[in-house]
This record gives sequence, C-alpha cells and structure tokens, in this order.
Amino acid sequence: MSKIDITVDGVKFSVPENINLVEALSHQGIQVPTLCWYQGMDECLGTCRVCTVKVGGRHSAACTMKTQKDMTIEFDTDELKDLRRGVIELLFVEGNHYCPSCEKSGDCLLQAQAQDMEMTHSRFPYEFNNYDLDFSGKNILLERNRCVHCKRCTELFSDDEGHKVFSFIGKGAETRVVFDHEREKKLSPHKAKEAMDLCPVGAILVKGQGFSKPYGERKYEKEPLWEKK
Amino acid sequence: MQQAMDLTRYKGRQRSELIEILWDIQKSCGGISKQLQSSLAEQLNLSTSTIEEVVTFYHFFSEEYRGKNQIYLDTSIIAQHRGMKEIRETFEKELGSKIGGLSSCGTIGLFETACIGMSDQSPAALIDFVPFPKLTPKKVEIIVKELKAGVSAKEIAKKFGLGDGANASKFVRTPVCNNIQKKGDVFFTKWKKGEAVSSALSKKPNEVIDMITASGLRGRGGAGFPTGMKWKIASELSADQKYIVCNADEGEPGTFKDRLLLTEFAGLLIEGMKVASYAVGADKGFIYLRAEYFYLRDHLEKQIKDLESKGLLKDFKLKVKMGAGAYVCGEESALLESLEGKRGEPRMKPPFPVEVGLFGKPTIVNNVETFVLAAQVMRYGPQHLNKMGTEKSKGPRLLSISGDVEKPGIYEFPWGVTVAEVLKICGAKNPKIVQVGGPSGTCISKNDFVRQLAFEDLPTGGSFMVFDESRDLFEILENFMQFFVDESCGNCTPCRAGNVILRDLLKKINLGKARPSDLQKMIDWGTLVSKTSRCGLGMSSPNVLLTSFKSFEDEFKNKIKNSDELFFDFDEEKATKEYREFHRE
Amino acid sequence: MGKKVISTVSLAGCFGCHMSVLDIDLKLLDLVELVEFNRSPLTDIKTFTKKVDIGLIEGGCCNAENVEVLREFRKNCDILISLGECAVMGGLPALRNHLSLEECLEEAYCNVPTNKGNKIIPKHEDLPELLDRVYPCHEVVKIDYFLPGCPPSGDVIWSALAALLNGDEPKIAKHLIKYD
Repeated sequence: MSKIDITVDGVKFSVPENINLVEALSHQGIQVPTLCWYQGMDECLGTCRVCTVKVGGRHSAACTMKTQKDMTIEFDTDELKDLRRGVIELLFVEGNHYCPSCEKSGDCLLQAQAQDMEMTHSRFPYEFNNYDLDFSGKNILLERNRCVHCKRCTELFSDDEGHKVFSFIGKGAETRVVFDHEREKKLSPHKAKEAMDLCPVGAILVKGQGFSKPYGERKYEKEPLWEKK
Repeated sequence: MQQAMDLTRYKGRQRSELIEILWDIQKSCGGISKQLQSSLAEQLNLSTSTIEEVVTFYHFFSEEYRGKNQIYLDTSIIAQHRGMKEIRETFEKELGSKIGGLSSCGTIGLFETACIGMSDQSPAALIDFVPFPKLTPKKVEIIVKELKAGVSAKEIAKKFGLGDGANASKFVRTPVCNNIQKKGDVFFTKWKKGEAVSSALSKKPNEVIDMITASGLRGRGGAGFPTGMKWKIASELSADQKYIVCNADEGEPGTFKDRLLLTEFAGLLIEGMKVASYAVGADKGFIYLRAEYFYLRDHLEKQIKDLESKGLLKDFKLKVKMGAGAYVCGEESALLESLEGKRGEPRMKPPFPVEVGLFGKPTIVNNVETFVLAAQVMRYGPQHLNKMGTEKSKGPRLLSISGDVEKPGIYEFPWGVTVAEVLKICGAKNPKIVQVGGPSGTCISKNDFVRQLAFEDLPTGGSFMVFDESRDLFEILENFMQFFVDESCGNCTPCRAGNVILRDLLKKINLGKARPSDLQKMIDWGTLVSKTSRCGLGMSSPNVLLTSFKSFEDEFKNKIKNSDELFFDFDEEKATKEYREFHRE
Repeated sequence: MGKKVISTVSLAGCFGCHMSVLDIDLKLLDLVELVEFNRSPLTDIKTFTKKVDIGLIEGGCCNAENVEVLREFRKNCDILISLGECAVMGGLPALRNHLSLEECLEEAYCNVPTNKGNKIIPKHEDLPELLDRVYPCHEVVKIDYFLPGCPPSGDVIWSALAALLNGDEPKIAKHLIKYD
C-alpha cells in the first residue's frame, strides 16, 4: 500500500493511503474517540459523531473519512474537544444513563468515553425520556432507554443464517430499536452474547448474563481508554 | 376498520418497489397493519422488520387505520398566520374528532403535516392527496358534508373551481393556481417540444457539458454545486449503468416554485433530464416526486409518454417515483435510499452520489429547476444564463414568495437582486422579518434588506417568507424548530437529540423563564448541532436561531424577565400539583 | 486568615456521599485544620449560623422540602457543589421519573413484597409534598461544580475541596472520574 503524508495538528505523519482516518491516526498513537466505530470495522456507520475532527477546515466525522494525500486534520483543539464532549453529553441526556444501576457499567463505551473526556455532568437538561423495555425475547432484553442509536446491531449483526435480527423503527427522536422475534428465538447463547458485546452501551442484554462478569474486572476498568494514549 | 387485502399480487416484486407497494396498501386499506406487514414480508421474501422500518419512517404511512378519507392540514407558519386554527377547529367540529383521530362516523381521518407547497394559497389541506387551497370554514363544512355523502375529494375539488393553466387539464384537475407574479425571460419562454433535446443531440456529449459549465449553472436545490462539474464527473466515470434523478421533493417550508415547474414546464424538465442522460451516458432516470404532489403524477407520466411517443426520449427510460412524507428525502443521498425502497436516511459522504449513487451506480441528482434551466441553456446557449446574475451566481432564480405580501406567488428574478427590491415588487407592507431560504435558511431584519440573493451573500433554495410588524418572531421560530424535530431522520446524535433540546430551550426563552446565560447556550448548542451533524438537515437547522438572534437580539433580550443566575424559575406549585391531586381523591 | 466554612446536606440521597466524605480518612484531620463545618448532618447544626464558603449537596430534589433546603443553601453558600450522581442528574431516585406518583406510592406502601396488608399511603401536613419527578439540583439553582460518582470517592472530594481551599478550580483526575 502506498504511503502518503497527512498533517495532524501541524505534525506530519506518513500513513497508508485510502484507509479509515481513525484507524490511520490510531497507528500513529492518536486515539480519536469513537462510539459507533470500532477498530477492525470494514465500513463505518457515521451515526454517533463522537469522532468529529476538522478535515481541510471542515467539520467531519473522522470515521467517515479515508486518508488522502496532503490531508490536513485538526484534532486536539479546545473547540473540537468541546464539540466531541458535547455530543457525548447529548447522549447522556437523551437516554437514561443510570450508571449505578446499569449491568453494563464498566463495560460501557459511552461511560468510558465520558470518563476519558472528563465529563462531570451534561451541560444539557436531562430529558428523562421513557422508551419501552422489551422483555419479550427468549435470550435478549432490550433496554431502550440506554440505546445510543449507533446502529451497530442493525447494520453489523446477523444470525447464524446471515439474517438481520435488529432494526430501527420510527423516525427522529422517536427512533427505536426492535428485534425480529422469530429470529431472536433461534439465536444461540453464543450469538446472543455477541449481540450484547457489540452494543457499546447497556441496551442489549442477555437475560441472566448482565452480572456474569464482576465489577472491577470489566473491560474499561482494567484498561481505561486513556491508557492507550 | 382497516380493510383486508390480497397481497399475493406482490409476490416476487423487488425491494426497490417497496414504497410503491406500500402506497397501494396504504391507499386501499387506509393503513398498513402489522398483519399486512407480515403477509407482505412473506410475499417479498423480506423480514417483517424490514417492512416495519420503512412504514414507520414515512409519515403518510401508518400502522393504524387512518380512514377511508384522509385529511392532512398544512401546519406551516404561513398557514397558521392565514387562519389554519379556525380551519382546524371547523374540521374538528364537523368531523366530531380531534387531530390524529377518526371522525365520529369512523371513516374520515384528520391529521397534520408539514408545508404542502401551497403557501401562496394558504390555508390549504390535502384530502386524499387532492390539494384544497384557500380554505374557509364555509368550504370546510361543504367538504365534510360531501365526504360523508361519499363524494370523492376530486369531485369536491372541482366544485370549488379549477385552477389556471395545466391545473385545469384532464390529468390534473385541481383548484390549485399557478400564481405567476413576475415572468422573466429565462423560464417563461414558449416551449417548443424537442428543441432542447435536438440541440443537445446535435452536439457531442462533452460539448453539452461544456455549454452547461459555460452557463455558470449551479444546483438550484440550495447547496449550489456547479451543475457542469457534476455532469462532467459522471460522464468520465465508466460504469455499466448510470442514473439521472430529478429531485422533486420540494420540502423546504415556503417553497412551491417546483410545483409550478412540474405543472407548466414538465416537458422542459423531462427534456433537461434527457439532455443530462445524453451528456453523461445514462439510460435510466427517475423523477422523485414528493407525496404532497401526488396530484401531479398522472400529469408527469402523461408528459413523459408524449415525449416518448415523439421519439424524444430514445434510449432513456424515465419513471416517476413517489416519496411518502419525509423532508429529509430532499437531501440527495436520502432521496436515493428512498428510491431504493428504504428508510430515507442520508448516506455518508464521501462517496458522493455522482460516484456511488442509486444502486451503487454513478447518479446525477439535480433539482427540478436545474434541469429546466439546463434545457433552456441547450435552447438559447450559455449566455442566456450567464449574462445575468452576480459573479458567483449566474442566471435567474425562481422565488416562492409567501407571507405578508400583497402578491404571494412565483417570481423570476436574476440572482443578485436585493431583498429590498423583492419586497417592493411583491408588495410587502411593513416587513419586519424575512426568512430567506426557508427554515434552514437565514432570518433577517430591516438592516439586511440591502443584501443580495446570491450564493455568496444570501443563498436560497427559493423560499422567501415575509412577516410584517404584527407577527411574533418567537411563534415563527418555534414553528420552524418543531419542524426540524419532526423531520430529523434520527440517524445522528446531534440532529436527533440536539434539535429537541434547542426547541425546548427556545420555548423556555419564549415563556420568559430563561436567564441571560441561556441565550449564550442557544448560540453554543446551535453551533454544536450545526458543526457535528451528519447531513444538511442538522447542519442547517440551527441557522434560524443563530441568524434570528443576530437580527433580533433585542427581542431575545426582552424575553429575559429575570437576570438572576443563582436561582432559576422552578415552578413548585406545578411540580407538586400531582401529589396534591393524588391525595385529594 | 480565618477558617473556611463548609456545609453539607443530603436531599434525595442515601447518605452514601456523606459516607464518602468520611472516607477522606486521615486527610480529614488536615481538613478540620483548614475548615469548620457549619450546617451539616456531620455537626448536627440544623440552620446556618454564618455565611458559608462551600456547600456540598448530596441528592436531587424529590419533594418540596428539598427545593426549599437547596434554595437556602444557595442563599448561604458562595460555592455550591453537586456531590454524587443523585445531585448531578437525579440518580437512582429519578428512576421513578417515568412513573406516575400514584404508581410509585402504591408500590412503595401497598404492593411491596414485605408489606403485610397495609393499604394506607401516609398523608400528613408535616410530610413534605412530593414533586412530580426528581429534579437534578442544577435545574433549581445554579450549581458551580459537579462531582460525579455513586458515590464520588473520598479522593475526589478531597481533591476538589483542596483545590477550592487553595483558590484553584477543582479538576478531577481522569482515573478518579466515575459515574457508578
């Protein structure tokens, strides 16, 4: 793969051409915060906007950009840090994120990002929306109040036969995630666990598995995001 | 009651036809119940949730029964100012129901919808997708009586008198008026069938593109991308299939100029599309028509047939496809998703549709007005456009003028005209606020009336709303912000969550509960939504707050009743009401 | 220079955050050198007897009394800090925010599994009126700083107080920030 030069906050880096910008920066030791995107994802979802940077002077979600020759990126500026944290704070008020009572606490990427961005509270008014929980599944429990609408489950998850299981219904602030009941019933425990792990927050839970990993031994407790930096 | 329907007729149909199929079902059954969705899923070999995703995205589709007759009232601010409240109340009284419900007889549903493109003849409603402009309580009484007696909306409309021009033609037959107020010499020339197409075909494709480039034509949807450049990129890509798509999803509140073009200039539009197809080497095209303009579908199809029969569309297959109620589908990539039978959520850019568009193929998406102008360039040459306008904005601009003016309607102006000139010509009395480019555009006051309409100054997709001294700025702003909350697709965080918060903050300001710091918050939060959103909707939805604050800072400041930043307005009385009522029982 | 004055209160909270204040451990000895406590459950002083520099609020507002007390704190304290998740965003008590008061009270007093046949929901003029939902403190009065956590650790509280006593802005180290 041919290498090209890009500039990040005034520093030149040589990176492979036409690869995901978040990935490229990560290889250079620059960790752009993400929520819907994760390392190794082929296509990006571009939904959460937590990875907002400036490319060529324009605000863009870094995960939606591919490295190109002479790209100029702004990343570590006060304005951009504030915007990225603002997006995280929006998610904290839109849903109901009661970390103290959440099964995913410690394994939650939203929480980990907020912590890494030193969020103490949200600047926006808490909305206390109420989305219905869906207990009706055989394996899976949907806690929609925690959904960040990242679309990982609707776009990237499929059952053993390759069928889509989750979808979005509704529009705008009323958008909510649902699952196909027939297909959900047939999910193997392994597959169900995969769905729970794919969910960056505590919206998709496997019944009876929420507390199988003890607090203190969870992903971001053992490896906080800032340790990568 | 929702009707049953045999869905076996759809067996084996393509997913891309889903929206058309759903329209069939919605219209014949009055709704698309869960049961219908799952039988349809079986016929199309799709999962039920794939159908549900689409049904719940578009607001003219419903899972519940919406009646044999469905009435949609225009909620735009223009309609509100023109007495929509009284119209709504009359409908409610006559039907014995409330908005969102069925009439007491159980067959007529009453609903609200965003601007239906009739701001020049407001208040208006769609009844079974027949537009009823200039409603009065008296007319409403007649309409309801006739509907109850089983008379079709189309028949009732005729009784109110048909509109002018093609509105009265066999394939339209509605009371809509064209309201052409100012003709210019670019749009309003006599159409000679086939002239644009034969001019193009007599040249090489690259010469056609060069002519478009030389004319300085820029996309009329609002963003203003140079049309020639777009066509050139598409022409240079090699692909087994390319598409030409006309964006006739005229959804920006206050605009209705495409309504006129689709009614009176449909032939020219189609020729413009054919010219594009020749220039870039595409053999298929679609006109994506907003559902609010359903009444123009037969007319457009007739025009296509006419041109086909004259041999003018050789090697170009053109179809009309319907939207189903979603403003965001005016965003070109969302429009393409919708054309593919999906939820109209904008795609990520890059890649741009010109490279990876409909079904993954290079696609030209242009506005109605852009294609019409392209056809005119073919007929009259590039100078016809580039002789007028400003340096960066060449040619004419159709304006849809509505609100507090003597002559609402459609005006042709050259780009570069000042707001003041426009106001004078349309007969605005005591104008206080001008909203240029619709809710996603710019809100200006008298101080800015000297400014020019141009991409480099005040860009506009054609909407031009005028509000006089008697209007309440905050009522207008709340209407606009509610519009964005309703129309956000929900895909990205800032637009989905942020617009709700901005609307609530605006309400708080309007209620006089805000503190000075809240005004700064409005600016900061609006900027955040605008900078981090995924598509044009979220990027521009805060514009109205940011620009109105600039133009009317004093009005905002006057809303601040209390500058105490330590103690906020917490309404204890209200917060404890539920408790007191509980114990009273 | 006289000692700085601190007050604390627990509104709709569980006193866990107050326990965390005590978790400052040995540094408490340093703290009492630097400050004196006025109105606080730690001193059992019920009303403000002087102007206070720093007020620590545990818990959000779930009833009318909480609102009154919070306002009084705002009146008497130069700096007000939301201490812990409940003060910051309502916390666990706010889980009731999407239920009606009727459902809440019936669950708490009648339907709860430990109930042996009680059907009475208490009502008395001395009982504060409940609010329709639980409100984060900063929706009622201005809050100057927020210390998240359920509870925030003793280290967080100490670092914030130490910074303020030094005249600095409190800034919590990343590894100390948590919301659970």
